Amino acid sequence: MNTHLIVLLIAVPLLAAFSGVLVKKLSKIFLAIAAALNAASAIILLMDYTVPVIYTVGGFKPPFGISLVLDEYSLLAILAVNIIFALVITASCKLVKKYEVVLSVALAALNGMVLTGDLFNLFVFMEIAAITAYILTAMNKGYKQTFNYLVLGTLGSGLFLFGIIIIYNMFGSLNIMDIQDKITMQSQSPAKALALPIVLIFAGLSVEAKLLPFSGWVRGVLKDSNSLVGPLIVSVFAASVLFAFGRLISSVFVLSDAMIIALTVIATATLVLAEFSAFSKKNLREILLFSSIAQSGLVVVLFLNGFMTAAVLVLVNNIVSKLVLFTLSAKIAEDNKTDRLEDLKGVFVKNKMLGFGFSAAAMSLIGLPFFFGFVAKANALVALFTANNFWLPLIILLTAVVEGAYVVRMLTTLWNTGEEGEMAKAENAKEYKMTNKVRLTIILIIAALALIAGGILPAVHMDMFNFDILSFLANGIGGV
Amino acid sequence: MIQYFAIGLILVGIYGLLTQRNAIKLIVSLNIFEVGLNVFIISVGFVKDGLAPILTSSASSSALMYVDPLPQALVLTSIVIGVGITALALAFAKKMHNQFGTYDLDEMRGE
Repeated sequence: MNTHLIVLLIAVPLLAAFSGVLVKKLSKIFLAIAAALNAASAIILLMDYTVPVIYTVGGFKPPFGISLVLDEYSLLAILAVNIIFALVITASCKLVKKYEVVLSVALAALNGMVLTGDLFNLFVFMEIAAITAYILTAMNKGYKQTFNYLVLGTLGSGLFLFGIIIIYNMFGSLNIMDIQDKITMQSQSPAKALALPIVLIFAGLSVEAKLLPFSGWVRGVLKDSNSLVGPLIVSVFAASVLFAFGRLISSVFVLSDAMIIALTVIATATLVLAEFSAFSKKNLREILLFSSIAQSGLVVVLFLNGFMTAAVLVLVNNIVSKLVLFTLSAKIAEDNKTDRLEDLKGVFVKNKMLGFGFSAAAMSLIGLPFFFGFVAKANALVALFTANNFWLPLIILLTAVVEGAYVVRMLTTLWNTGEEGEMAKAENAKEYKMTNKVRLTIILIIAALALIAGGILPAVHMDMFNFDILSFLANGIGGV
Repeated sequence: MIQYFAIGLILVGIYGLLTQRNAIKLIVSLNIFEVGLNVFIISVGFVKDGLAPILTSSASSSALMYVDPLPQALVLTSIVIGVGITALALAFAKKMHNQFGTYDLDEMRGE
């Protein structure tokens, strides 16, 4: 395997950004090349992957220098981040204008976040990604909302930095693996001593991961977002932050039982409240942004309780589904100046392929059989039941019912032309404006087919009479 | 002692963020918070009676007490990021002022 590809995932977008500043006319081409090369590199790394690689930057061996870690976990993360990033900018390439440099820097920072093996380096990449997110979210002129996001985000990253400096003071290292080694070598569990830095780091990451009580910025920023910014924040940025979250939870976080319960309560409250908020909303983007907050809560619950495979599957299902749902919702809103469900009755009647992509993603989001969401949620439930945990599956199932209710409401409204009780007829369908339909259809259908393939392939490959979904998935995605 | 001072500054910054509604005052509060954080980072590397972490002909033994140089390198990065964020926040504050004619977040209408 060519290990230099690992650092090129960060270096190439940075080079594209600097070149874009020097030659502004070509900045769009530079961004396209960087996004395509990164997606291709991620696929090549997947095909060539054999064993975990620790890439030392500048020849300084860890823990003295910064290292990048490519293992099964970060491999899946870079695949998700780079492929979805490429799909988002292809689907909304007209909106990219003037933001090419920012997007290139964002791509470098997001890759850095999931690859880095150093806590301070993670902070730096998080800050760079956050700055690009602030600039992108200001695209729709909602400066007040973006300012609120900036204040909250900076406070969060400050708390994160505070936490990692305390950890540095305790262990004398910032290298995640080195800290992990030092934690395991201690005769007594350092859970008590680590409580303060862990709470600070958790609070810091909660802003970007959209957990309560730090998710106040999400509605303001995303409810009017366009088809570039919305999917980027909900899918790509969320994926990077949650993958980084998972990495820290599985390595640096040594949690006492009381701490696990406290943090699980916060994440569960996020899941429940956000699902009910989504249910109460009438606009497409608002429903989806609250659903996104809820899914983040679910992923963090699973990470906290040690179910890494389940958490990663739920996360991947969420980001791919949200890519389709948010891109299409924002596009409909851009073209028709509204995303109110009531105003969009029967929008898919004359846009059947787009409707198919949207419906497949929505069904995968709620976890219906034959979609990837089913595999993810079934895995989470089986893992929780196997660990004799009955409260969390109950909460997950109850929130899934709420989720199912608003998704079904959304789909029935978007596919039916008439009022409730009336026969829906195609000739009654209103004409809705839809630009760039072909490109959008191709991209969304690819994503939707990936979700269907992810739902069917495990069933085809498995011995149907010996249904061991857990070990199959654990092996299937490389033993995460 | 210096760490208590740093934590005090951090708390003053957080107090400002929670109580102020003026965009400029919020940015000032963010800066106080960041300064407190930076002082705390520096204090982590402090060694009483320690030498500057530079090898010279008179101080070349590893047995000597050197100040930890890493937090100083970290704080430099942190300051640069802080400056970037402050510049961006001020740009947004100016844009908000152009849009609403005020810096007070509560007086801004038309969300």
